[in-house]
Amino acid sequence: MHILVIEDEPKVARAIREGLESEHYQVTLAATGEEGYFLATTRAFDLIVLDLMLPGRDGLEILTALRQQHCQTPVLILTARDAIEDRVLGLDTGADDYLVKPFAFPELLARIRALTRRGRPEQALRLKIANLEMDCVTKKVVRGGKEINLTAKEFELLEYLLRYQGQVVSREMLARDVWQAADRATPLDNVIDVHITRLRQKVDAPFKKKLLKTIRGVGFVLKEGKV
Amino acid sequence: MILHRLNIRHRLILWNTSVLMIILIVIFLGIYFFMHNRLESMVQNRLDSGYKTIEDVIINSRGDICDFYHLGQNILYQVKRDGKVVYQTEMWEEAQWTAALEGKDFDSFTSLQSEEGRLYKLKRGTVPEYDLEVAFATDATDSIESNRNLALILIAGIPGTLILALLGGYFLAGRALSPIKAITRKAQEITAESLSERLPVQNPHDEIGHLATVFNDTLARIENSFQQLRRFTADASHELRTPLTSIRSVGEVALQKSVDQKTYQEAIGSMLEETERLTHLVDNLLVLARGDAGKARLNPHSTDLGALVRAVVDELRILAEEKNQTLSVSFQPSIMVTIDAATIRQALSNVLHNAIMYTQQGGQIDVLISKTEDGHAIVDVIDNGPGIPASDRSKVFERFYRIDKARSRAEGGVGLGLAIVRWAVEVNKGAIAFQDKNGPGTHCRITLPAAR
Repeated sequence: MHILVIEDEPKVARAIREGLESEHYQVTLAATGEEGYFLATTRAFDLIVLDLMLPGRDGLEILTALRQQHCQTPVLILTARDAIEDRVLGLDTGADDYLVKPFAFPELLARIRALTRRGRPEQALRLKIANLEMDCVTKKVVRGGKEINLTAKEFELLEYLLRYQGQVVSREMLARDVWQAADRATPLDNVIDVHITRLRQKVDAPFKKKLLKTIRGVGFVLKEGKV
Repeated sequence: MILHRLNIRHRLILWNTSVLMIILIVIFLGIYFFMHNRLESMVQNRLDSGYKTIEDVIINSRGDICDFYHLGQNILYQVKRDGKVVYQTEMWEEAQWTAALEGKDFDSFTSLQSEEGRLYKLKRGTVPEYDLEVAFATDATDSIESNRNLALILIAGIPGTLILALLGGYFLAGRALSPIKAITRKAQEITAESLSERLPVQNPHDEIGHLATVFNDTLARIENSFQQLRRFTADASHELRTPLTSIRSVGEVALQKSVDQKTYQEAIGSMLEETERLTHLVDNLLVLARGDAGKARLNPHSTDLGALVRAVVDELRILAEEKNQTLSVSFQPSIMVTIDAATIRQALSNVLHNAIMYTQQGGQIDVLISKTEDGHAIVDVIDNGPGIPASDRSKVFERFYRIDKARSRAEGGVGLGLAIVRWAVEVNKGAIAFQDKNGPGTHCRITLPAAR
């Protein structure tokens, strides 16, 4: 999977490149709008990550030009401007998704995964990690043969973690996808933490092997073995 | 226009003097012509009656010149027959006018000048019964001179009066405008650094004093805003610096002692947590900045307040459970309000979160929704926690205000929660305040306008 990253801030560009490469993506960097436009029109990419504020031609211009050239590559916009107008403008211009800076890296990964598999139905009805199994139809959760009773919210939370198993899930992702909250706020962060604690109590506490881990300062991950 | 380049003082006296000049000219012309006519008619009367007397004497004496002596010699007249002088008084003779009058047209020649420079008016006529021509003159010097003197006085009076008016006006306008000068001088001195200064008010009851008072009120408001802004900037930098300091020191310490991976991970995690705090703070500041700029996008809809509150309570209930608190909601069904649900939801969430955070383990929190008679909807959040001291009740809505600085920071707040709540409620045309409460605890009341 080959990703073009058009980003002028060297530190951010390097961090994105390293982060994506460690997830086994192939990454090409472009530091200016012109360079990015040239690469996007001459080579094939599976996804373009585009910073909106670029020297020379800005992100929206490039996006407009690309879409006029009938370039169908999915585009993920990065922007420090989070006013709704800017987002709408970006999406209207032909972007597939946007992410507001500063963003959590797991969030970027999640968006990239969502965009690259977009269109492919992938809603497994049975989810599994180690000896923990979830049946999304009967709403049953079993670990090591023992059924675990979860509240509706805990079930949704675990399902989300299972779908993203092995990947770090940030509080932002949980707030948006599980709680459907438009804005992040302190009360909700606390609510998420308590739910995680309770879920861990039910899913992990009785067992020797811990699955639900906290990555300090980033979020949570459901994973076998060490983080 | 040149007028516009002059200052008010000069313009004022220029106008003043011009108007005065016109009035003076009109009045003086009136006086002059009135007096002129009066004097003229006085001379004419004298002339007419003098002539009549002579005529009467001629008729009474049947043309006998001897009777003329009775009239005396101090009148000026001459009687002629067929162009020859029949009789003339000594005065007339002395005047030696006969030659001057010879051959002159009767009507046009009516005034004469003596050798001493005195002026005379002349009336001539004929007495046909006795075939006599009569010429009578009277001294009109005084009248004519009075007239001339009056004109001179009047003409000289206009510039004099105008100069006096000009000087007086200049002085008075200067006095009346002197407060403006003082105000201008003071206003020039006032800058952002000296907003505490005020303009001088000499007489608060006149227009200028009123203007200065109004300006002073404006200055007071600006000063207040500046103070708030300054405090806000100072507080914001302080709040931004705190997590930055943590990030820096944690990073530096971790780099110094080259230790195992676990310690590094701890350090990085700690730095990321602080980054979270920073992000949070910046997000909140942006919400407020956008609110201040009036740029927040609101989408007001008719909303079921009970359902909205219930959703918030259900979301946060788990936090109350963790502290073994009793959290109850009671409301009348279907109280509709026209609000932007997202901002009000955020506000309710912050208020309830505060109640849960600051109320002790096992405490009680009640959320009541009611409707006033005039149609306002009210949300009361009442707890039996430690409460807020009365002196802090209005200050807690200020940005970065904290009652207990150490405590709320440890709990992750940045001191903007209630400021955002107040903004959210007010932008939805509602009001929020902490009420007096019997017994310990806090009573927060949010009032929202009913649905239209």
